[in-house]
Amino acid sequence: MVIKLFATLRLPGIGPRVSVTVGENATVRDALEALFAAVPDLREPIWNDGTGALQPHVNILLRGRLVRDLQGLDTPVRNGDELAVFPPVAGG
Amino acid sequence: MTLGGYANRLAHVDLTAGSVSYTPIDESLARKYIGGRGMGVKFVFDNGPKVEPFSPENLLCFMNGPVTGSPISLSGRLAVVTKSPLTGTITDSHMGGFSAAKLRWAGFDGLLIKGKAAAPTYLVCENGEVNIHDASGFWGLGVRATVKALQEKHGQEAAVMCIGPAGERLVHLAGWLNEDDRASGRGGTGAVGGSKNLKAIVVLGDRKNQPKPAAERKAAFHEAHKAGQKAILAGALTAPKKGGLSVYGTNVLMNIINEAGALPAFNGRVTTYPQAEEISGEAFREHLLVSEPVCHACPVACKKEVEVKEGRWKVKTESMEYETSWAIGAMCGLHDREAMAYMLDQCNDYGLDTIEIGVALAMLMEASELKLTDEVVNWGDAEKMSELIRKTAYREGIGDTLALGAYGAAVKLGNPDLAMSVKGQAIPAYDPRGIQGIGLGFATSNRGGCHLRGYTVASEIAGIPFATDRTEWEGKGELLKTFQDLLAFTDSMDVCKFATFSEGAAEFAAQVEALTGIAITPDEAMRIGERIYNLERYYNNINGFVGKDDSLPRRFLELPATGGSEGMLSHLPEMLVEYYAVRGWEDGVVPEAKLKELEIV
Repeated sequence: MVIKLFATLRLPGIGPRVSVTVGENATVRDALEALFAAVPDLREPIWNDGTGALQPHVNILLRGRLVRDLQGLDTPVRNGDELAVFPPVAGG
Repeated sequence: MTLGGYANRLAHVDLTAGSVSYTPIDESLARKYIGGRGMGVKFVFDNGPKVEPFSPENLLCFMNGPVTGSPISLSGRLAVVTKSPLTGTITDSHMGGFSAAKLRWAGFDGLLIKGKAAAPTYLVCENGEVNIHDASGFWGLGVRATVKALQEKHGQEAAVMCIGPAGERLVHLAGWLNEDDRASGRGGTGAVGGSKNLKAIVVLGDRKNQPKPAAERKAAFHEAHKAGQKAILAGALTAPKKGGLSVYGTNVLMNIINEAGALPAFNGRVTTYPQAEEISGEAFREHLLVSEPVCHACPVACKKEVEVKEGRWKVKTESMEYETSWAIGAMCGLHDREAMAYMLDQCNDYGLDTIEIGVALAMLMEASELKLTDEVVNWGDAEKMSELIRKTAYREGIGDTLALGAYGAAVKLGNPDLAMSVKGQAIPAYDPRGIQGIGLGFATSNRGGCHLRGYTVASEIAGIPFATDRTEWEGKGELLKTFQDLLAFTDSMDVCKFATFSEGAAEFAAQVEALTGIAITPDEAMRIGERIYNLERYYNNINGFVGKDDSLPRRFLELPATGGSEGMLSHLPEMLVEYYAVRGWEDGVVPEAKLKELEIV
């Protein structure tokens, strides 16, 4: 599956898209672990090891829906899916 | 006057008589309405709600709040408050930069301008005095040339707020801009200036006159200021050079809103724009960004100056905001960044609201497709768009129709449903189908289509101060009321909306209390905001606005969304029931009991 990265998560040399492979019955959490394995520098801006949760206001969308509005990190994903991962963003 | 913070001086300018008088701040009004938007709304209300927007009797207020120009973070804002020629409602439109701070340092809480000058006029504000000058030599100039000429005359440190050719011609989407290209863009306040033959306001203010707390509140002020500053510096969104808003500006929103399928494109016929990435904050930063200017007391630096170095669209201008990028980009099917930068510059120089012009052009493109006009305007035709922006500013040809705004123009073309507008003002860059609460916000905004009255997107997308599901309608009435009341308060201080991404009512109340001495709890701050919101609504009710006007374009209720919001429609009718209940309104009307409860009457 493809993980699309935006704004400050586009690290030099990595770019806006990272392909990862997940197993059957995988979740958003598994996809993130695969991402961090592929690009370790993305772990800190996305994941807070202290709280065991996403960094505050990091948002992940799957097929347009914020996964926090679905089943959070337990939301199922498939290999054909695209996950969009955003650092804290707002404006107006 | 026992209150700190205020300059305790309002200038009353009568352009017909060519005279200026001064009054102190009424302390009871300050306690009830704070300043900025709140006090401006009160003055415009007291001037008489039935006034014609372009008549000399219409009151045009430039209002500071008590923290404007102080060290409080993001306090470089002023409110232009008047009756809108675009909507017929009351309106307030805020600008950043340094004009507001300098107006306070020049010794004013506000300028209340009435009448109509016999000839083009500008004002000079300095040392607590306002003088009226002849502007004949500047009439007809664009914003940049006006600023340059007036700074040559009055000094490079002078702040200059002015109208361009659009305001002079009473174009309904004309705003006021200043020397930093910061705009009070919405609602046609620039056209009200034009109707008064008022070209510019020059302000000379010295920072040594910054508002200060009384001696006994110095420590409290220091503490309140530091608490707010710390929140901004550490905020996930606002942290300088780290938060998304600071690094990419407001246009950091383009991609997430598009991913959600909540980006109106092609005049709202779809809610996803395939080329959104190309007009995003990320793309502008990579290809065109040249500097990141700031406003007074702001470490965030969300302004993004862009430059096209050569070619047809050669230009250097600021600031490529999300709203602008959406309105002249996705809404019109255009993703040529360089052309967009050029058109932004045109709007800034002519003095036009970029949201309204983009939505008006999108409406015309659809009307052209439907053969409602002889004018051929294809989606994404940058040359044609640029030509039409100029024609709108100068009211040439079809531009005279576009000068009425998207809604007014659509009415004239025979199909009001083509205008993505509410109460005559264009909607901003969020689709009511994909983000339910903001659709309710557009519908119930007291100044017509607007995201800044109640920015529920903070909750529905960013998750601030808490997350809500953008697709759910239940609970959005109460959520919206909270946002509307809080922002009415912060608009009255007057601090930037973006302060609310990292601070809340407790921080804001502490800042106002420490500076002014008005004892104020967070709950009281919210109640003041509620009072202001209800007074605005009362003003509009007197002008005939009722529940049926709290509406959305039919498209959002009937044509399903696409992309990440596929199939969704706005649940406006259900949300309105909930909203009116929490507001205590009856079919969009404030009952007398509510007016009394809030001490409005």
